[in-house]
Amino acid sequence: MNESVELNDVQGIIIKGYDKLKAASFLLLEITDIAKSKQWITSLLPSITHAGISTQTIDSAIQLAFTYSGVAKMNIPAEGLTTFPPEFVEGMVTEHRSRMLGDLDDSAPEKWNWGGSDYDFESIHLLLMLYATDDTKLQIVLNEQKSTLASAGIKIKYELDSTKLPNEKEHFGFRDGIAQPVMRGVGHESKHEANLINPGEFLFGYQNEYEKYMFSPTVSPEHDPQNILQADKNNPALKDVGRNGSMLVFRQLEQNVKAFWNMADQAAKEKTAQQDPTTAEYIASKMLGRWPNGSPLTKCPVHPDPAKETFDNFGYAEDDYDGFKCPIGSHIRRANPRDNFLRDSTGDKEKDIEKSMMFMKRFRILRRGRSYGPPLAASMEPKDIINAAEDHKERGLYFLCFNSNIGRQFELIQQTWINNPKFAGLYEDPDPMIGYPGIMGEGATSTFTEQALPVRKQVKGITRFVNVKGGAYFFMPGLKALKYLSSI
Amino acid sequence: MKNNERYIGQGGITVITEIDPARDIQELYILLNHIGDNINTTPVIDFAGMKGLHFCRWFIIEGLKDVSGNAFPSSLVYAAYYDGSEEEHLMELLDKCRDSINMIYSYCKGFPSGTGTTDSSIIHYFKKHMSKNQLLWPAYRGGTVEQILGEQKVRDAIQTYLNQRQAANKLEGLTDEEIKAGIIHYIQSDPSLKWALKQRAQPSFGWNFIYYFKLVTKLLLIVLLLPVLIVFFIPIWWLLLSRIFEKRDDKKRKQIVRTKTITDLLNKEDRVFMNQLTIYGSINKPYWYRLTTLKIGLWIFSLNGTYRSNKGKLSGIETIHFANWSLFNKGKNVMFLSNYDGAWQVYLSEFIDRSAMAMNLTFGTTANYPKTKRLLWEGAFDEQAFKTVVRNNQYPSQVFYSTYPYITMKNILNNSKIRKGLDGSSKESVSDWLKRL
Repeated sequence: MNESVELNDVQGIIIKGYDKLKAASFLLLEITDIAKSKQWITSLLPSITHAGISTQTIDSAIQLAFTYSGVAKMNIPAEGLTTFPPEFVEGMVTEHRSRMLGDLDDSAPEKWNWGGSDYDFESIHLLLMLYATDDTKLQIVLNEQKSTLASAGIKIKYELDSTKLPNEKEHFGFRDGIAQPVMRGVGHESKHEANLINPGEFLFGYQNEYEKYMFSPTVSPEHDPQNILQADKNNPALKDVGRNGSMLVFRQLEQNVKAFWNMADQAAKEKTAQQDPTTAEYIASKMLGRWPNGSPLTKCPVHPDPAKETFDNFGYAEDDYDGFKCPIGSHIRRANPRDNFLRDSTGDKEKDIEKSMMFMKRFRILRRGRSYGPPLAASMEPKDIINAAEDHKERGLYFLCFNSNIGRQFELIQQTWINNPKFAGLYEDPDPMIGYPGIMGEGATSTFTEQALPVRKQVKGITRFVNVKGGAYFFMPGLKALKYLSSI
Repeated sequence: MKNNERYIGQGGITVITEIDPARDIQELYILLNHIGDNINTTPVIDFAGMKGLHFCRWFIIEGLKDVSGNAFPSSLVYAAYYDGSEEEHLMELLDKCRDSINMIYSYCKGFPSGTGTTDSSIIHYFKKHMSKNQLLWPAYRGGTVEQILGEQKVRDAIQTYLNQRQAANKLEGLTDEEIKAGIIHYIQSDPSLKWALKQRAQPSFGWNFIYYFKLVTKLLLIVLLLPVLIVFFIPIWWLLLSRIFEKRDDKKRKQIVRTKTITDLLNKEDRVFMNQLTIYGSINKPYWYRLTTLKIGLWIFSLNGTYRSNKGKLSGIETIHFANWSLFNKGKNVMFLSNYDGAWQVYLSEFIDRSAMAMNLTFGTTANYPKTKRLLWEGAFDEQAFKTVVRNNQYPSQVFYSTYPYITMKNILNNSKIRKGLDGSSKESVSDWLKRL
């Protein structure tokens, strides 16, 4: 079934990455006066950018999302509050979730800058996301918002400013955000069938990849006296608060750029000394699965190819089953195993591929991250990063992603693929760049296995280069739901 | 390596004993949680000393009812998966943990105590309270604990060898065959590993005879029953009765929502790499129809599990080590226990994506299961509803022990294929074998 998405009711950032809006700032807000804050939301509604607006015509964008505490502040009836997804209700910080996500040791919530404490869980209510073409424009939008917030009974708890790095790169120096799924029914269809995903995987109120509707937050009709909301798809007797909304995962990930490249450089020097000449760039690219310019190793195993910088229409099962080009444990291969999700599972290669393609659609997320902090080397070239002196400045990624089922999508990817040392039959190999080796025991380090002929090569003793510094789960409602929330 | 000498099969028991109402059940919780919470750090019980033990667990059933609302008395369940016979396992259990067994079972009705209590009276007690496993599925037939741990050591030793040779640049220019010969030589020279060059013992002629004889009789039974199947079972049992009872269930069905907090459950999850699943529920009415359906389903599973899916994969699920089904409370309740690798979310997704029909045929006989259609369809195909129902019927195991919490089923299979390359029984090319390392 092909459902067309009600773009005018979906907040724009869910569908679009706003690549042209290079500046962004995220404000974490606390509501101190409920009545005033609702008036503020009502007055903000016309300014909220929806996905029906062409990005060509705008020089700024505004989005709004809620934490569980924030939704509760809106006076949703108690029976409605319990219908929100359990991950959202419980929040990102629970004892079990920290274990699952690897939020331990240096990433432990008590060390976070924001979102890690019970106090923050209670008092961070809203996320206001501001985007603009450049810093000057952003400053104007930011000042506008700040001046209205002051009189709206809303306090700014944290202000998170982002950096747009050159050539779409992230701080380690690799091009980021290439493999994105595209929602079916939004008009611009992907050429790559594997990336075309039913909208219900990201939005409430549409069919997902099981051809079912996600359990959506609902209220009974008497709690919607103005009749703003539509009927719920699973239970038409109820009103759907979730429709055209999505769950937003927000994590501040600090990247230790120098330590990562030191590791790669050290490993390259060791291998070179063993008459196996190589470079840090090659080892780091093997760990990522793409060259710094973005070209995938499966398609360009020897040299980066400028013509394939954003190339995404490829699989592993036919061309690179054994991982001789793109290692099985590399970052991109585990974050999205593509047609090689099932390895020797059904006993029939064709069937494995077919089923992999089908199952994989159930484990995708829309990434909308932005970097923060200054680059270690302005050029973002690996050789310059390696030669740059450690400056001890904080830098990293505001990891943002949208999905409709946090447990099956974001959390599963993080636990079962990124942090999993046993991924795809490996033994002690979590994600070499962003993984957490702690599940294997206190003080454990990761191994990176580079499949090669005649036998594999290994880099051992890999520590953690990415630490969590903040985070929360948000609900980004559709515009009608926003109107509803501010009207009750 | 014992199973180099003789073939050793795997077994499992489920023992359900009623908790003495005169004792304080909270004390038993405290005792079991104490054992369970420290199991991987400061073990109270010497599980590691039990050389034939793969996994075991204790959990308390409390507040369970059958579908008519009759209470099942609070009980303690012990489930274990081991090499060899139940007799051998119970002997080893008493040998290593007699004091703890006495302490735990002092909370249970009828446990022999006082002077004159012998091992055999305790074993008799366990056997008396054994609940039949309608289906016990060891994923990897013939893989003993000794072999699983031993083959992991062999694999680790080969890794060390390869890393040393690579560091010294000694593999450069060697052919695949020369590299493999070097590995074999290295294993050969280590007295603690050279058993790996000998093949594992195959089942005896007598064992094979019984094994295949049973298969033939089962297949014959199917052929003989074929007319009944076609005339009676398919039209009446499958097409007609299923619809009648499913529609009756639909009328009673409430919307599927999470009905309990699962913090207790989650606090015990993902402590080590392996996890366990303990679920139990009530068989729906009419019992004759549901029980027969369930038993037919389990019979088919068992046939598949014994003769086809016995090499590490059960219908495409690649993460289970052992699983079992057991009917209890005179067939009014049923439990499903499994020992699996990794995370709950993906494990459940594997069930849903790869064997939803099998789930429907079996779990579909229980109360509050998502709506099914003709026994096989819908139900588990609704991912969110199925996961919600599983969580609603899932309970913590106060004690869960795994002898090899970090050796996944995929690791076990790969290790065993590495070993086959060493002992000469592998049919793989040398270059394919080297890819396993």
